[in-house]
Amino acid sequence: MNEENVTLRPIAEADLPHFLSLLNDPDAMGEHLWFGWRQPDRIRRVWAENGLLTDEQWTLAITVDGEFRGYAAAMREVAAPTGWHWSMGAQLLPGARGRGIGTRAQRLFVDYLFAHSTAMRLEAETESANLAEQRVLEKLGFVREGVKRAQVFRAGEWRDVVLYSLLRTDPRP
Amino acid sequence: MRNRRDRSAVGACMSEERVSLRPIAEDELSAIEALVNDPQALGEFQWYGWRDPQRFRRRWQESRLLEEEQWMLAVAVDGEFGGFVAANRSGVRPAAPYWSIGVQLLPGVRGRGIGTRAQRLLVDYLFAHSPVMRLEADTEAGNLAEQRVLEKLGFTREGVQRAVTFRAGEWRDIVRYSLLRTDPRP
Repeated sequence: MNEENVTLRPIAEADLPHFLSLLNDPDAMGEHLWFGWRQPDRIRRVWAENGLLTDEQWTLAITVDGEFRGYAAAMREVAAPTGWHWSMGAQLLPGARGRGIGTRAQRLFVDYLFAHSTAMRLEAETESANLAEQRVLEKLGFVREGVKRAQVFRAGEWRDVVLYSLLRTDPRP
Repeated sequence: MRNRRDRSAVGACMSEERVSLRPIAEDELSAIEALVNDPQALGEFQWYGWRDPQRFRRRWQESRLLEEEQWMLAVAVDGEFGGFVAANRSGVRPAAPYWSIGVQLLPGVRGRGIGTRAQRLLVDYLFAHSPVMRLEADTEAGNLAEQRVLEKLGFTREGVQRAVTFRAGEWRDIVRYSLLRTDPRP
């Protein structure tokens, strides 16, 4: 994994077919992320309008040696009248998994979010059964805050989600 | 021992008053406006600074405060306006929404179990009139009274979320609770 150069950048038009496969291809999405078909054209339209970089949501391409290999996204969540935080996640194309690229990309994304916004808190959620992502988040310094029961509905069942957070003031290993 | 006696005294007092939920009436809007903009009346954990008090009136005119995304109902104590409950629709995915609930009482009706009874009515109402699986409630880590109420209603403490709200100059932790449709309700 040391050989490969992992970077983040905005999503380019040429990335869109690969990006859409991560949103609308059950095989590419993997075990924990397939929630059913979504309008593929909607994402294209949104991309054409704002490049997937709005005040509410920042989506960036993850590249490995310059090639699109997945994306990282953060959604702004408002809590109470005065507080807000980012809820973040990342998804890689099948061929890029299992070599630490997700960890490195999410570390870059954490740095990016704390550098370019005033957020105090980053949040990440993952299904209880997704142990790989939980290991990644713990490696990045995220703290496990608890399990939210029946938080998502996927593949015919309500499923629990583990909630993690990283504060600006937390140590980042 | 002493605690137990206090609680039964509260229970005795509770049963005298009739608590119910109903839509918010126009003549109750001024009480809501006064409540949400009065730091003293809101109490220790709810004061986030001045905000446009007219927002309730505008939304009332449009929707009677019963919108897709938020249901607000008056808490009536022996028929009189005593505060309000609210449920906000949340959930990352539109296909699987849940409600996040809360209550705000007038200062004069606090401390007699009315909040507990109002929230129990709201829980029943939400499970009766929407197909959600999950209700959620959160409260500041320091607000032990509300945590006791939620536990009395059968809510499960899921964890502490750090630095979620900003109040009185500081980021503050909240405790997250949930009640599933399939949970026992005491």
